[in-house]
Amino acid sequence: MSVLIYPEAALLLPEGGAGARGMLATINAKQFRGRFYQTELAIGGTKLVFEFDYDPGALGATVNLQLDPQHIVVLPAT
Amino acid sequence: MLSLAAIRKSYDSAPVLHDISFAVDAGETVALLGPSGCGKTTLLRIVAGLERADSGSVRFAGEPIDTVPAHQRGFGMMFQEYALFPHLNVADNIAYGLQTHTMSPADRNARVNEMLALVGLSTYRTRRVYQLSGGERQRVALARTLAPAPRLLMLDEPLAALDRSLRKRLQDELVPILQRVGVTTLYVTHDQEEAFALADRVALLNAGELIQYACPEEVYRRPVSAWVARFQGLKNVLDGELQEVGTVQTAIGWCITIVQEHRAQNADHRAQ
Repeated sequence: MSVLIYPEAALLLPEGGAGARGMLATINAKQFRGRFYQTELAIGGTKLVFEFDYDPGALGATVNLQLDPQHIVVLPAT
Repeated sequence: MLSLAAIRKSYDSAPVLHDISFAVDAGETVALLGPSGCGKTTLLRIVAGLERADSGSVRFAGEPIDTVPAHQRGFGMMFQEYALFPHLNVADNIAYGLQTHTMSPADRNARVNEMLALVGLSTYRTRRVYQLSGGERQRVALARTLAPAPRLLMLDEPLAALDRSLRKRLQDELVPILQRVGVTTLYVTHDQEEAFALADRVALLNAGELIQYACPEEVYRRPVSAWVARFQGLKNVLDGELQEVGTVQTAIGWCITIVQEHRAQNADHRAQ
């Protein structure tokens, strides 16, 4: 099976900031498009793309990433 | 209103459509969406009567129409190239679609005016086709297709030849026109954004198979497969393994708990 993580699923906190949990991620690339920063985060060797209505770069080059479960879907095996 | 049952089609023994079945309600706009070569135009041509399915049946208003010739179906089809007549002006192009109708010249003229008003081109009736922009040609072609009041409107990639900004504008203009006319519509496109903007329901095809048939919200929020998600430009698709009932372990370490089928409701983010 597969897991689909929507672009709006990411919650970011500064690395090591108060209450920071989740995975460490590096901001790999970002682009302002429309009203969102489309941002590629690298987690280990995996790259995922998320959208933010603020500049995630302001939090630092490395951030703590959590996911909002409301924006995750498990897809059936095909 | 329109129903397709187990439609199959092959060309030179290469299958193009496999058991396509779905129904379209009266007044509904359904987008046939999929990548190039997925069979969407072939399906449209079968509905139009321009091709015969190898098996399966097409019904309209409860009646089988498989053997009804295209010109007797009362359907209207608009192609990507518009096929306007360059030697005729705008009004004559629109009136051309009414030639087979028994109408008085006054009624025909009134219908042309009605269609010009519908597409916002009332002041263009005497213009020549070569004097029109791409967007205006598209609207004239739509007016011509709608003039005979088709029972079913079929649009084959009508915006594909236009540049991106014009496509977006015409897409926004098409929605109220189709709503005002209230005609049942099949809309072929390879553009997911266009399909979602225009359609009440989307028939998503790939390699001749109907992959998902649902409203745009459902296709976006509940894609039936990773392919459907990726086709929509959703890039974050991770392989996962069912660890125990209701929990999926992803390859990069997130353990996601599912509290209902195919739907993640809770996730924790344990790094491996």
